[in-house]
Amino acid sequence: MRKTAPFAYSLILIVLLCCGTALIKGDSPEDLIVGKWEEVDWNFERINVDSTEVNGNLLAYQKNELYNNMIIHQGEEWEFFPKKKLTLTPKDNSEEKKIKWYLKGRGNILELRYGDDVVESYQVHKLTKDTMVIYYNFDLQMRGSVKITFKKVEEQDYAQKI
Amino acid sequence: MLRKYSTHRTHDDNLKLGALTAFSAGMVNVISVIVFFAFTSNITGHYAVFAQELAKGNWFQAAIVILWIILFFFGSFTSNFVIIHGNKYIGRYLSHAIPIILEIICLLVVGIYLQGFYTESLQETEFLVGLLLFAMGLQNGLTASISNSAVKTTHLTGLTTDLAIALSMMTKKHYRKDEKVIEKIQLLSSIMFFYVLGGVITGVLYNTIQNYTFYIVCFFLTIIILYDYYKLTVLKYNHKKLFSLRQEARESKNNIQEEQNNNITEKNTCY
Repeated sequence: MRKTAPFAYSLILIVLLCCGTALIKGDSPEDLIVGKWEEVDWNFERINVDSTEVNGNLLAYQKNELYNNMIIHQGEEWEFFPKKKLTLTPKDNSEEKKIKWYLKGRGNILELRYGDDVVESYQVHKLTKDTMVIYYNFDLQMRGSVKITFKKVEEQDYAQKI
Repeated sequence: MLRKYSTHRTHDDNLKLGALTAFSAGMVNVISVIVFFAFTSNITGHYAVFAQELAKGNWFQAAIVILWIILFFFGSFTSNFVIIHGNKYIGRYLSHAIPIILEIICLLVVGIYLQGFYTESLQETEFLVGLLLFAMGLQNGLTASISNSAVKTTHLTGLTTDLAIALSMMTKKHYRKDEKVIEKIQLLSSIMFFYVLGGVITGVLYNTIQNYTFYIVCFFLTIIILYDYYKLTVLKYNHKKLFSLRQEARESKNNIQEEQNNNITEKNTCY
């Protein structure tokens, strides 16, 4: 019982040291996100339709409807620059969009801001050096949320070269 | 509200302190959710998030979350530290007021930084969330410490449980007239009401005055400090006045007695 206080203080110190190490050695989400990302999968989770019909993937007309609400209209390449700039390049070579990106919370919220006060928020589910999975929650009378998976373009190119 | 300690506190003291601090905590929590997408007045969720980040192998985020929890912890630690050690050197009122003063400083720093310097980088967000958690830890530590854990104003989990227990006690006829149970229900429901009210008002205000909302929170916290300062000054003034009146009365009594004595001695010398 007499050793409780030293033990507790030491434990706090150890936790602080571990945190410091994790912060120094670990990758900040803000650094991880910088680069070119290509959309590889677009999924609508917990969808209220026959799963055998769509097998987890969204039907084309539903996807179009959702895309209309999402502002981002087609599968694109997202290039994140360090100074909060994001370029959205459509695959069909139509005009690219330049917007701003911000990470909020502990890096779990990705906010995209368009010039005219339009804001899109995504939940960052997974962010590693080569994969990014984000969720977009719609303010619609729909079940589930949209899951978009990205692969980092540079990493793929590098792997292909090897 | 602040100057009384533990069992010397009245129900009225706890009610005022609980309502005002819960109002501030509700405001801070909603602003932080709007600005930073992170809760700052409660940490139960952060524990769950910490476990989740650990499970995912996101060491960086897990470290950030545990640091936030530690900052809340240090806030409460600092509060109680100042209360138990400062009492002897700087007096009870000041040692109880220092955590609130520190909280105001933290909120002012966040408010001023958001207005003039915030570039919305993740590091800034993490730091400012940490500062708000420290401020909420200070407040929760103070209220819990001086009220003997009767008042906890930054989160509603335990409070909802206590309120449910108290209300279920009321189903027994014996407890319906129990003053303690009634007072507890009044205290807990007022904390709950003011916490929600603070949140709603902030939600509405933030659209128009934005980061100036932090100054409003500081204003309410200043009321807590000044209320007791005013009470202390009035008490001191009344005490002084009473003391001087008593002294005057005593002096006049002495004078009369002296005069009487003089008269008697004069009469005696005449004889």
